[in-house]
Amino acid sequence: MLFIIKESLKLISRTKFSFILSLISTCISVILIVASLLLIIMSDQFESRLKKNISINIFLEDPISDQKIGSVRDRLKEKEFISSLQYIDKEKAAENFIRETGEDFRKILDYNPLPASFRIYLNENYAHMDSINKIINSLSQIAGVDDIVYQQRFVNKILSQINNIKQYIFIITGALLLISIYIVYSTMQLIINSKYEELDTMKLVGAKISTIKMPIFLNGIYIGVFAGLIALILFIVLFKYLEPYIGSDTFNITNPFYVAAIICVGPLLSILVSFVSLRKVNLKI
Amino acid sequence: MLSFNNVDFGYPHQPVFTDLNLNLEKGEFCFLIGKSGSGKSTILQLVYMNIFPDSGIVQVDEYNSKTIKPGQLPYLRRKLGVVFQDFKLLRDRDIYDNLAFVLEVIKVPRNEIRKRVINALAEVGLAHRKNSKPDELSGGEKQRIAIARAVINEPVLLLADEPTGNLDPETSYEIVEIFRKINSKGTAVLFATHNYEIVKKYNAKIIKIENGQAFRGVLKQREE
Repeated sequence: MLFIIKESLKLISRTKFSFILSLISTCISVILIVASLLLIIMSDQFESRLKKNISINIFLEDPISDQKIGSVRDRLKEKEFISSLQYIDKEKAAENFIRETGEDFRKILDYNPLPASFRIYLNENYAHMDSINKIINSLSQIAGVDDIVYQQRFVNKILSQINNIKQYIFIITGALLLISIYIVYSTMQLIINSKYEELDTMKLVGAKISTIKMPIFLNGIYIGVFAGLIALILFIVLFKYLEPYIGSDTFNITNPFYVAAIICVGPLLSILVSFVSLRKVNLKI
Repeated sequence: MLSFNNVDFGYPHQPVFTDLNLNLEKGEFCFLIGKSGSGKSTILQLVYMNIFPDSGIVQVDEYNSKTIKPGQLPYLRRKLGVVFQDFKLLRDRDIYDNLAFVLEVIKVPRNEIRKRVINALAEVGLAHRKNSKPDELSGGEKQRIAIARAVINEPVLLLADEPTGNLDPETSYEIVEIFRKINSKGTAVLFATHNYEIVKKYNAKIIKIENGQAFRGVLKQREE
């Protein structure tokens, strides 16, 4: 084992050019992979935020007794698809109407035609089209409910756009992942090819296949760790500059989980690629 | 110690050996001669089991080409030393490390490595070159280092594949002398060459490869 560790470390100084080349290519790959994973995480956060803002207005019968309003409220509170609800009485509805339209109907009418209502916000798990249709159906069964209104076209459009965007992100992520693996794989092949004399000598003098492969494998892990650290530093700097635009609450790159994940991407990538590349190395000279 | 029994071998659309038989006893010195392309290097590859016969058996010490498992190949090769025409030294490390590498690979203890490297270099007369890089050596010196590397592991059989092919006649004789010296200590040597001048000079067993078969000859070296 000592020989393997020693050889893997010597490999760095003996193959400076290959080492730097692999470090750069692995680093680029780690950045691509992390960037695509961040894209997924951030698009999920964006989707979640959008879904949490989808609201449904439940208009109550007019007139309606306080007792019935309480009963509707109790029924709504039982519904697990509701994350929060807000009661808007007739007076508040009138104020909202005047503020939004600029027209004061009270100058013409001597009564308030606007009914009281509940505005509910959905749990994000239920914020998709099939669910919303069922929810509306279920809400309309509640005694005291007169009408249910939500911005159907707007919500539909947002939900379908979110789906489209997510599909594109997954395709881009998949492509970036493949490109990254290919970059590291090609570099690993270059290293193995540049070492063929040494590998042949090892085979000739009776080295076991594990003794031949392990230094290259370990060397790949060192490269992966360095690449992970460099990528982490670059992302920390990048997020520091982007913080004013994306907000510090959106994503915290210095969260220990993300730090560990970014550092681990490099070695994991190297292990995977080394494993595949070294599969072809056998005892044939 | 080494035997080829009814060995057939060929590359796709190119038969090389048909019913090849040859033997080498412990401590024997044997020249393997034949024209370029006759299959001398192929025989050596069959010995260190880089390739395997299509039929027939190659037996090297206790290892049999029919029954050897991939995991046993390193142990077979540890019993052999191989020297090539192009030396195959590792240019990125000095001479000491080139030799130490062989022992490190097979996990010889550290204190033992130093002793054996110095001894092997002394054996070929190049102990003073231990800190040089291969590129700083002459062809003859490189070949001596290659021989030192091949014998450092105390093999029972030393294979030489045209080891004098890149050397001038005088250096070639020096190299053969080193092989003879090693042989005199009990290591069998199979020396492939097409340099008949060298073969004529020494009184040793000769196997000639011709038309895919091996013919045994005893040379009347000096008379010729």
